[in-house]
Amino acid sequence: MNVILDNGTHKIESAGTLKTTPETIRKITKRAFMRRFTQAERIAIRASVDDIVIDIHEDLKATNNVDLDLADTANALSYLVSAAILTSDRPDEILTDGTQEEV
Amino acid sequence: MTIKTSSLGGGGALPRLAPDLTFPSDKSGISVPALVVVPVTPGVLTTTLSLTGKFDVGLLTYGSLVAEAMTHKLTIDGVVIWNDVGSSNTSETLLDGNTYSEHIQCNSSLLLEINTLTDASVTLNYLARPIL
Repeated sequence: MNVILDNGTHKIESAGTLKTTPETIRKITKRAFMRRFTQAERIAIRASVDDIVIDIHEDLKATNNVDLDLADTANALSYLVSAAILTSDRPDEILTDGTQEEV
Repeated sequence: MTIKTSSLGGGGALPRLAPDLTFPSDKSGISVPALVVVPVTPGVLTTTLSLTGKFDVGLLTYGSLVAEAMTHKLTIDGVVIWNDVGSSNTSETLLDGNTYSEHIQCNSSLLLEINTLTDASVTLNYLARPIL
């Protein structure tokens, strides 16, 4: 346990650590994640007959939120690049930190 | 059943804040809400906040959650107050002290624990003021 405060009479502890900088948001809602794609990109994903793209889309539909740090998320975006649905610069843009409006 | 501060004191007496003489130069989480980032082992009860002493608690909000079923357990002065599994969103407000009646108090200890299914890291925003 990490001690956050100990003044002799009062003690605050946590298994975590005190964060003094603004919170970095790395988990966003599915809707927020989809809105990071352009309309053309979303249409291309839905229209794809590629089994892996279909699997990525189905997997996304089954979840409630997206962890931007998850390896599966990065791998999915990389595959969308290889399938020519995304340009190579788009994964970094799509994986930027979330905002309060996206959680 | 939570212990409402306003229900304690046998006459509705307000709790007396303990001195916090380094505020505001040192905003280390005593007089202002503080945020802790807690690594969690899924399936294992993890202590996100432990208070020893007499405190007034006005805010308990989890953030950066995976939306899934998780257990929230709260023990005040050795008595288990909450211990249930519920479906959480990406953020979950357990205690929102916007009004004074929503504050809770512990006289000797408070333990807030969480048990997730898959989530490996949560954040907890809390406000715990030492009182006399």
